[in-house]
Amino acid sequence: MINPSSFWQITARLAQLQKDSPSFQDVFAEITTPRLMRGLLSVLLAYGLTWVINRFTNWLAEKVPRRFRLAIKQSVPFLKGMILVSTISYLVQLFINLSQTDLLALTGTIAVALGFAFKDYVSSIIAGVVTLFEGPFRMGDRVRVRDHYGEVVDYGLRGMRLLTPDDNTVTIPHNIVWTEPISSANSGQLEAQVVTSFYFEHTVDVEAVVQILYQAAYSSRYTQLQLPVVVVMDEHPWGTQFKLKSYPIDARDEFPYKTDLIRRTKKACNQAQLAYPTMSGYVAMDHASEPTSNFRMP
Amino acid sequence: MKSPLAHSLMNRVQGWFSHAHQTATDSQEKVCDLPETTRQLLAEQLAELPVPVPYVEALQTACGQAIADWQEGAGTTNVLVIMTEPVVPLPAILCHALDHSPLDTVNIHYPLADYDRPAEPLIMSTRFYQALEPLIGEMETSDGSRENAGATRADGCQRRQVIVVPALEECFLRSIHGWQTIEDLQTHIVENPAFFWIIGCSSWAWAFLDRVCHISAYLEQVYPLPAMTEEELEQWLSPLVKEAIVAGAPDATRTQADAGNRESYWKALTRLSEGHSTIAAQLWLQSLGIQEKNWPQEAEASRSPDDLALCLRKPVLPTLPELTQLDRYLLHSLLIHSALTQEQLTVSLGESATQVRSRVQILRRDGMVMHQQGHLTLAPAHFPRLRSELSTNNFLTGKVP
Repeated sequence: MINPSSFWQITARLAQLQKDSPSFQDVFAEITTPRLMRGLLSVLLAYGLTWVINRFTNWLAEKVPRRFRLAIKQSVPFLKGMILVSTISYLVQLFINLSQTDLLALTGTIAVALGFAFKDYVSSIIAGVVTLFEGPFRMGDRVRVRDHYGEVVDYGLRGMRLLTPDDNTVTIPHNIVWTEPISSANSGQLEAQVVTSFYFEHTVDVEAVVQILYQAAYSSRYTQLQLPVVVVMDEHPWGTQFKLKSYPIDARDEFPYKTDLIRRTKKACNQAQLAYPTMSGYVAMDHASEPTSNFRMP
Repeated sequence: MKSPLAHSLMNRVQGWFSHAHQTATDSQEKVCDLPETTRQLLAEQLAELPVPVPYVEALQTACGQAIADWQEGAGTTNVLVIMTEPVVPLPAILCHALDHSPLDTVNIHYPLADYDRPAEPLIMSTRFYQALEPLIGEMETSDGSRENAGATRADGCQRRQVIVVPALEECFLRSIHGWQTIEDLQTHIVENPAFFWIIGCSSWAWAFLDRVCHISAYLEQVYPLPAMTEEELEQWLSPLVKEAIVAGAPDATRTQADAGNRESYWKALTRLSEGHSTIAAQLWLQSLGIQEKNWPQEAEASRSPDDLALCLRKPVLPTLPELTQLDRYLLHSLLIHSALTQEQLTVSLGESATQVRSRVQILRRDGMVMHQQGHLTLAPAHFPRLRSELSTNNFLTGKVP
């Protein structure tokens, strides 16, 4: 927010500067066809380069071994930023004759104009630049922002794009990331912990369940065996909850991995005749698949 | 230690140069691939080659020493693990070395000789127990109780029973309940100090088992099968063809240059194969060619290799075909187990049989996977590049100490 007294001070200063500064024609360079063409060409070139970099890095990231995928993807926002800055500098140098005083006047004018007209847009851009250097997440990370969860597949000027598990692309403006909590599952690493919940009767043979869960994780083709596998338990009125915490080789395999764990664990539990919680009434499930209190006890 | 990126890049660059060199040589001398019948004949002869003598000698020495230590001292370990890469046929080498060993003070038993791993993990443990228990039970009954046996055999002359498990990777399957057999075996080994165990194991199976059941805590004495030197490889492979010149030397200087070329050929072969016999054998076969001017007429194409003027081209590692994610998981599973039937592979991957069958078919067509006596194995020549590929893709890989 701009303080009203500061605003009037800036306006008065601008008016003073306008009095002292050269005319409008002196500030802007003469617009000729070759200059216009060069400007247009530079914009087209920047657009083309951005497109090529986007396509090439995405292609390359999928071709190289997994270990280098995230590093390559992370270079995209930096490269795009460099192109943007270079193009804007070139265009300014092409069309505007700037003295020190002009620069001050122009910056002030633009700041005020943009501050009012494109507040959110500018806020997003600035937030994007800051986020890029702060690094709360990276390209290729699996993040949750508000209700959206997915892989960061693009990092643009104004926002980033998430690819959700349902194959939807969600665009999130950077200024939301600026103010909202953001949770990154892998923080630039290839692996992200997957927590899979299983529920059994209170009377279940706990040792047998724990053994099966460990073996399910260790024997899954997706499991990163160099990272720890942990089973933790929790008690609920309706049964015992077991949480299997393990890491897939690639965070992208999160959902096939979870499915694989559940499928093989259920098969082994059925063979061992381990009892699941029996609930005669209606059970409402929340987003984390944990039964809520809205049910009748058996 | 090289980083995976550096290793991967080096492999790729080496691959480019190898290809470039081979193309240049081929274009200079116009060297063609062998006629299919000749190649087939040589492949059959390669399969029938005797076990390399250096392997046999190394194993006999290592086993003899370990057994002598065990017979002499009460505190020493009663197990020796022989370790190598999964593409080396360790069971055959180990059994041959022990069958021809001068160890006459011990009785060597192979209780798992007829053990055939079932695809169902729950049956596996029972079958394994059935194969192993009679031998141990019989020995205990004849020599007294288990505790007694451990105590009375403090004097060396009583320690004479050696049990051989030629391939530990054939005793488990990566599935729920799939390594119960290994845990049973660990118990047997710890509880029966009166028996000496010689166990063959691939480094990939070892890495896996160490993660899932801490095998190195129980089987502490590991002996890596030594790599073969260039002279040993030359001595082993050369008898297959009477005379093969090394391609690349100009005709005028052939006699002088050939000796140098030959030396660099065997050096390159040893480096690429890392001294492993099976990898070297496949690379050697792939490197054999025939000069265009000596190409046999159609009627003579099936002649014996000795009747053809063969030449050796610079050995190169074959390029990996385009691999899907499922291919990588499949090949990783094959390397952990060294050899699997299609049914076992399906259980190990937790994937539908149809999917696995189709991918196996494609990998066999690409020459990555071989089908031998009902089992699928990796083509040894692809091993070095595949190991690098899997390692850079974040898979757990084995390493011979």
